[in-house]
Order: sequence, then C-alpha cells, then structure tokens
Amino acid sequence: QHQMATQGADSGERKFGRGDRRGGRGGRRGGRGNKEEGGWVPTTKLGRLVKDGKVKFLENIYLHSLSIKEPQIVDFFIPSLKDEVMSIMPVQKQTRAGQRTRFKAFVVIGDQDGHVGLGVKCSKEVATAIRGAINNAKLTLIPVRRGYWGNKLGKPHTVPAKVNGKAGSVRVRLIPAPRGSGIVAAPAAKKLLSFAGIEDVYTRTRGATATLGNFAKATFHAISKTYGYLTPDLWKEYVLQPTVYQDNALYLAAKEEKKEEY
Amino acid sequence: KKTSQMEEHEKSVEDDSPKHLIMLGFCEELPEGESFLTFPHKVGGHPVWLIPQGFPAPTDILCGRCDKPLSLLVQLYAPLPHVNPNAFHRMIYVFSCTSGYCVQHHPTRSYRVFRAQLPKENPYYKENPLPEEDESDDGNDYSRKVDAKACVVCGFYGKSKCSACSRVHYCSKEHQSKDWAFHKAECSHFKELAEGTCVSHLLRPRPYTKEDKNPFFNEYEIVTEESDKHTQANPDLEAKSSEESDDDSESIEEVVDHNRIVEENKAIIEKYKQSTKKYAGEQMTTNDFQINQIVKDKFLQNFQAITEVHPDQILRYYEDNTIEPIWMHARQIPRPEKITPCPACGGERVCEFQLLPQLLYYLKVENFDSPLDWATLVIYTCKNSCDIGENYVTEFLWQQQADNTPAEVDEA
Repeated sequence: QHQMATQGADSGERKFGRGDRRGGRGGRRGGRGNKEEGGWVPTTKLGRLVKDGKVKFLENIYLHSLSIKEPQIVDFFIPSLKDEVMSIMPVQKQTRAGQRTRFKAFVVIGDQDGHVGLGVKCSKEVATAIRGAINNAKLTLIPVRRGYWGNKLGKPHTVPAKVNGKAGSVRVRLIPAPRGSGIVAAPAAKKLLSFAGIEDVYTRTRGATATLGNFAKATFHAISKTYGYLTPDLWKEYVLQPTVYQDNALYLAAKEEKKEEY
Repeated sequence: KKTSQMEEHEKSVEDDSPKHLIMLGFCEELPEGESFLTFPHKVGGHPVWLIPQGFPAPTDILCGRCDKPLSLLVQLYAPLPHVNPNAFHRMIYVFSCTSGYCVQHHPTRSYRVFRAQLPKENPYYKENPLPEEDESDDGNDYSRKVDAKACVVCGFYGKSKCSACSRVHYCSKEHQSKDWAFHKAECSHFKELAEGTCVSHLLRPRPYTKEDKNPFFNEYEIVTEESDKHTQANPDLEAKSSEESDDDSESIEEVVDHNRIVEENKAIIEKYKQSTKKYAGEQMTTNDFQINQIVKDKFLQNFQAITEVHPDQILRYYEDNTIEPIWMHARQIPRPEKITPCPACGGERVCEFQLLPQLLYYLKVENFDSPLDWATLVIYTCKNSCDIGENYVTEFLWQQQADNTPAEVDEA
C-alpha cells in the first residue's frame, strides 16, 4: 500500500480539476453558463445537422424515416406545438414496506396542421411525469397527409383516401368527408384527429374500442398511413434524394425537398 | 485497496463532502491575449507536452488506415500523487484521426492515448508554484524550465531546427518551408535571446488554412466543475419490462402513504381536470402509446436524464474508478476481458474518464469532409499509474459508435 506523499489538504486535494488550478479560470465558469443560446447541445449526428441549419424541413427527416432521438430537434422546427394531457392516473406497486405510488401521464401533442404525436411517462411527481410525457410525444411525432373529398378548392381538409389501422382487436377506418362535416368519431379519436389538422372525416370502428390505448394506436396508424398511400399524382418517377447523413455538399446541391402539398 | 479509503479516515472532521467526485468538463474559448497554463486541460490545437523529450514524432503516430498523423483531441492534467508519488504531474493525451470513415470502421487504429507523469522534483519544472502576483493568478502555476522540441507546425517531435536562430524546431523540411512565411519576422529576434530561454509563449500565432491536409480540431480550454451527483448507473437490461420498469429505481424511504402523495399532487391534477375528464373511464396502457422503438430506449433516456442537468458538458472524469461510465445504447459495451492490461506493469486498467458527443458539436465536425460520429469515448488507464520513467506510454480507449439503427416501426 502506498504511503501518502505529504499529509494535509494539499496533496489530498491534488486531483483532476481540484486544488492547484487558477481560481480565475474556474471562476469564469459561472458567467459562462448564461452565454449559451437555447441551452441545447446536440448529442446525435442528426441533432448537430439540425442545429447547424443543414436540414431545412422536418419533412426531410421523415422522407428517409430517420429516427429522432432528441426532442429539441422537433422544437427547432415547430416551436409552437400544442399539447394536451389526456389522463393522469396514479399507479401503485406493491413492495415489502407497503405501496409505492407514482403518476402516469398520457399526452397528445400536435400543431393542428399536419403533425401529431402521443407520449406517456410515469414518475413520482405529476409535473415530472407530464414533462417527460411531452418529451416522449415529441419523439413520436408523425406527419399527416390531408386531401380533398371532391373539388380541389381551398386548403386540404380531409384524409386523401380511405385508410385503416389496427391495434389489438380494434380496427379503425377513416373515410374522406365533405367540407363542413366535422370529425365524426369517438372523443379520443376526435382529439387525435383534430390535433393532426384533419377537419372533416368519417370513421368506422370495430372491436373493443373502449380500450383507449388500442383505439388511439389504431387511429394513429391509420393517420400515419396517409403518407404511405400511393395516389395517382405520385405516379411520376422521381430521383431518390440522398439522406442527410450522406455527403452534405451533394445534399445541398440537389433540389430541396418541399413539404408535400396536394 | 485504494489508498483513498485510508485517506478518508485521515481527513479532518468538518470535511463531509464525498471523497470521490465526478468532475464535469466544459469547453471554453481562450480569451484574447491569454495563453494556456503550464499544465492545461485543452481540446484540439497543438499538444502541450509534459516531458520535453520522448514524445511521438509524426511518423510514430499515424492513423492505421489512412496513414495521416493523428490530431490531438483532448489532453487532461490529472495528477494522482496519492496513488503514485511519481505521478505528481500527470498528463493524459487523446489523439484521434480526423476522418469519420477511419474512426467508424477502424477504431483500434485511429485512436491513440498517452500517459506521461513526473515526480514533484524533476528537471523540467520548478518545484514550487509561483507566488501570487496578481488577482487573476491563483498562484499555482509551476513555471516551465525547458521548452519541448516540438515542431511548430504539427506539434510533434521535431528533430531539426532553424539554423539561424536555433530556437524553433521542425519535424521535416516541408514544415520548415511552410512555416518560413511566419518565422521570417521573429527569427532575428530569437537569435538575440539568451541560451535556454523558453520561446513557446513568444511565437506568433500561425493560422492554418483549409488547404491543410490534416486539419486540427478547434482549440478550446476545458473548464471543470464538480457534478451534483456522485453516483450514476446504467439501466439494467435484464429487468423485466413491466409498465413501470423504465423509470427511477426505488428505495425503502420513498415508500410512503399513497393518500399523502395524491394529496400533494392534487393541485396539479386539478389543473388538468378539464382535459382529463373527457377520457375518464378509458383504459390506457404504456405499450399502446409507444409508437416507435425510440421511446423504449432505456439507455438513451438514462443518458439524457444524467446529462440534462448540464447539457453542454463534454467530459466526465471519475475519481472513483469503480464507477461504470454511462453508455448511450446497449451495443458495444466492453466486457472486462476486452480491456487490455497495462503493458508496463501488467496491472489492470480502470475507467478514468469519458468523452461525450457534445464535444463533437463544439468541434464543428459536420464541416469536415468525412464527419466524425461516435456515441462516447471511454479512456481506461493503469490503475496504479505505474512508474514509466520519462516515457509516454500508451493507454486504452474504447469507442461506442453512434446508434444509427432506424426506428422499428410497428407492423400495422
């Protein structure tokens, strides 16, 4: 066993970053903290590209199905996302010393103009749970394609085609509706669809729809299929765009991918 | 047994701070006119050599794949006098290839880590720190006696020197001719200086242009701060994924009366009463809301939770070397047998510090031709910081690559 070099605070304190450093240098840290704009330092490659401004639209990320791992990326593109807490339920777990209670928050998030996400988080405090659920919801954000029922007048207002989704035993079918019909659906699905920005739609459901989870998930899948549906206007062949991960120079030189408008 | 445990008993009573800290490092630009300390923590730029000879030449430190010299990524001054009195001064250098391709596909050949140490009494630095001279100087800087024979252009060992002033060194003819444009002005001044004076702080700064085949990383100083928490843990993969398994661990003290907790949080729940009323009576489960794989990623959530307190940290230094570094995902976590033992003493290597991907943001790697991308770099060094004389000895680095696996989409 080693004998300590010299007694006293001097050598005991002599470690990385402690003791023996100029006070001035360490002290500057306090003022430095306020300088950072936004306070977000990205940890993933996609985050770095987004913060540098190399990705113009959120849709560029969706085009290549890249995984978004940092909620700040979504905040960067859509700063004004609205969220709504669907439910806060206390859940308990049996332990040796009694019951441990935590709160589970379910949140739906969307900008009511083509993006929607669902998130859930469990935590000891309600505020933490809600904050965590909103973060999770941002990671699950999905684009929604809207179309017309009849004449192509004005902005798109309904689903572009009949789409269906399933989860568990629940089958949900979304059918285009004329302008002014409103969302004809159960309250849970209605909330989701309104956050997505769909104004008019008919729905048909089957199965145990009382299970909101499955119902929400099925509706979510149906909505996400809108951008997977091959409509005649997409028949035209087009050149594959390189991913953001590939050569940035090439990417910037190519035609910029605009948001899909009907 | 670590001697720090002995230290624990010998420390004074009023010192009740934890013995083993986690120190965080942050990038900071060097202010105008100031130069680095004698023993700096730095990112990028030229390495500041602890021992003025015996450090690698450009030919010793080539990338195994692209045959270009590696660039300094990070250097840390990490003395460990209580582990080994000969490590009163101790520096760790981390070198990396600047090409993302090399680093991603051949990590073992694109990184080098060096350790160098000196006892308190040594021929290169004054034994006692400088006395306090002005307010900005805390007075703990040991002044350098001897300049390192480092090439002014690349920072590695320079065997030749300028024949006129014999104060600046170069590693090769190419670098000498390249540098002449800047050296011209100062050469005559240096010739007049007394023998043996250090000129390192008198050199004019040389800007390196984009045409250089081997760009340096952006230069910063690392400022350290103590972390609030001094323990950390990675999520347990074996834990059954029940509805509540992806969250904080429990302890006996946290189990309190159910009603009391509900009471405390009532105010917040009231706030959301309007919106939650619509869905009252519906059954919602976690799995239904997890639309994609990302939300289930325990490692990443744990990593983000730990680093969000100080989101701009680039470095985590572990004084307690039994602590497990935090990982960003579950793959490429080294098994203990993968960490090679110290070549000098044969002893085991322990985790000393880790570099975080926030560093890549500060280095602006996305502007490179082949951008670097890793999840974390963990440096393992000899546990005893064994005696190596005045040599630079290699240590071990483990890279966890970035997780670019696409999100698993649920089958509809």
